[in-house]
Amino acid sequence: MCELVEVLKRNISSECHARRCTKEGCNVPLKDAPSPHLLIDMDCSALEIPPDSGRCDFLFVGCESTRGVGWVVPLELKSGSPRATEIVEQLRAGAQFAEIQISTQHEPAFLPVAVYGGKLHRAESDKLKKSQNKVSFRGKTYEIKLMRCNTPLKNALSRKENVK
Amino acid sequence: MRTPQNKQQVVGDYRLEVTDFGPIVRASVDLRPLTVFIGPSNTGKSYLAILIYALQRFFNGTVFDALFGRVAGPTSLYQFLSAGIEPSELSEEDTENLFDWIDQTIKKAGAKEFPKNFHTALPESIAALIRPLLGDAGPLFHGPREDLLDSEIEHCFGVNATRQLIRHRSKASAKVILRHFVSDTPVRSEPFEYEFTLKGESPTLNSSIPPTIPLQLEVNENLLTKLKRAVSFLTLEEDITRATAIQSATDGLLEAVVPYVVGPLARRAYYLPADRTGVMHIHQVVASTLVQGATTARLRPSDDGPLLSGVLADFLSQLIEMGSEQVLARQNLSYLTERLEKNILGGAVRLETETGYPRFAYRPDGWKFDLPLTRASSMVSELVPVVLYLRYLVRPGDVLIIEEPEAHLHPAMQAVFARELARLTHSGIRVVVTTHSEWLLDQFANLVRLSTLPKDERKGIPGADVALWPKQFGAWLFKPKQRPKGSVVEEIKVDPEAGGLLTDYGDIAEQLYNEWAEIGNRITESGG
Repeated sequence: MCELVEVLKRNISSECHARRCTKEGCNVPLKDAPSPHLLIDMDCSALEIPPDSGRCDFLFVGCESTRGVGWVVPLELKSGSPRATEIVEQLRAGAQFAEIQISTQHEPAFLPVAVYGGKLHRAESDKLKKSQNKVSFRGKTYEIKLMRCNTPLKNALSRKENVK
Repeated sequence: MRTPQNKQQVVGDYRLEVTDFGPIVRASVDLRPLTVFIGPSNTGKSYLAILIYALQRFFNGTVFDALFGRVAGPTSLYQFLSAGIEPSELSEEDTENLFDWIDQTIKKAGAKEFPKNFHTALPESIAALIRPLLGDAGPLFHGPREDLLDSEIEHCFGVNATRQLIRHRSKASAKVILRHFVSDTPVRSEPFEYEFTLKGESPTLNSSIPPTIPLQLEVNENLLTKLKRAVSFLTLEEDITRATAIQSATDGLLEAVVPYVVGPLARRAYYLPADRTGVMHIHQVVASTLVQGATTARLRPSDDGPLLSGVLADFLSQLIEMGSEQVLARQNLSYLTERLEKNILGGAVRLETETGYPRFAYRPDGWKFDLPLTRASSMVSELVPVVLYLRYLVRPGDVLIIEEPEAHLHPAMQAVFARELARLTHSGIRVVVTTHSEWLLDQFANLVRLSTLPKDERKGIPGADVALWPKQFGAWLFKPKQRPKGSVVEEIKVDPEAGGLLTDYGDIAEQLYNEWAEIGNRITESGG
């Protein structure tokens, strides 16, 4: 039982609940990811996000029920090389959506993740390091984690296990 | 002494297949005009590069020295080969066909119908006689040649025995297969093939000539002279003239066709080892030490094997050779060396031989005196050998192997140097490079991508005049493997979707970046 996930499941139309985290040939396996969880397809029309507004591809919300750790993870998937400017904008939109949807009574860990299939150019990772390219969630700024397509989501989250 | 003029021409690429050699479990690498080896240390990049050097030395030196009588002996291998053709085996009809073909070839040449470097196929009746001479049973690769190849590999790697090069934990043998593809035949499926097996004390070398493949040759002045002489014998009214004419014709044809069969392997190779910068600084000391050591060698027997690897010894001896008048008289590729001096070095590389021993120096632009290499930047010492080799030794068609050309170069200069390496390729030099440089690879990838842009749209893009077609470039990634322990080699292609050449460097960039992000996020979470 995870209230964070249960509330969102009720509030978000079921047609926006995604079973697989995949886009344009880029896949993120959810095996061993925090569970129970909800994966929200951010392109879903029922979310009523205006078409010209930014959005990330998926929002992952999950719980490690054994330890009571909640997770909010906006995900942006690119089959090609990642570009910092696009990634940051989309993930920020995802973070804003999460802020609206998730009650402040929950205190989940937050991590924006960009997933890519092509080559990571040093110039792009250098851009991502800059302070203006962080993603804000509830007043704190977070740095984006990078991950190659087909890498399980649990890998991105594994090093934050001591953050509650 | 014969000089094979048509050795200057090479046709087609070749593929090197290696099994259980050094740290390499298996590799199948196409040698293209510009070939790049990438991968972590100890995965066999230099092993493969040195092997290429050894094979080139074997085919260019051992085989061609024997073939064209460049070594002393009562009979050159070439003459031996030629004697292997028995004119009586040709029927009257075949002979007529042969001389009809020769007549047409001479007439076309006279009418200047041949473009430069024109290649044509031998008449099948003659090709059928020549093929067996070039295969296993023929004298070209038979008998002591395998021992000579074995010795060449030992020399280049600096080992006492080639069995030391067999991969640890393998089945006690290593295999090297060379496949030479002939690019202008309709089907690429049947290459000329040479297979060398290292196993204990008895290496084997086998060669295979596809039985149906056309044998091509370049029609040049050298060949035409010989064919005309052959025709002249036919006009003499003597009984022996038919056999003499056939023999004379086949002499010329053999000399023309063998370089074609051996292909790019027939060319000279030069190897610039990774530690060339140090050698540039201490070559005089090393040379004098070796000379002194030579006089006392008997007093100090060594079982440790050669003191230097062949590639380093060859590099050292070629540097010393640059003091000779014959070498100084050559000025091969000045348009390439001047670019390197102007665009990267910012000064001139100078070679003086007043003492009979070469002295290398660098004179920065605008200076009135030379700077010894020991006081010049390490970038200068790194590039001086490249300039010297291009100026005095390397010629179009030759193979130039450079280990880690990026060493001591700022990333901006690495990109410039990568473009100059592409320029070498365009000048006809076959370039093989081992590298750890992402900048070098990014520039090569850009040049390959540039080839897809119409020429008139390339203006203003660096390297616009040296774009590389995909078939001119090959990048090979050496990947460590746990089972079996060793490395495997895979081609990586320039992928516009992926953003260039996908190496393992991206993984390292990602890992370092994620560490940065993780630290930052922990600082955030801890309220810092």
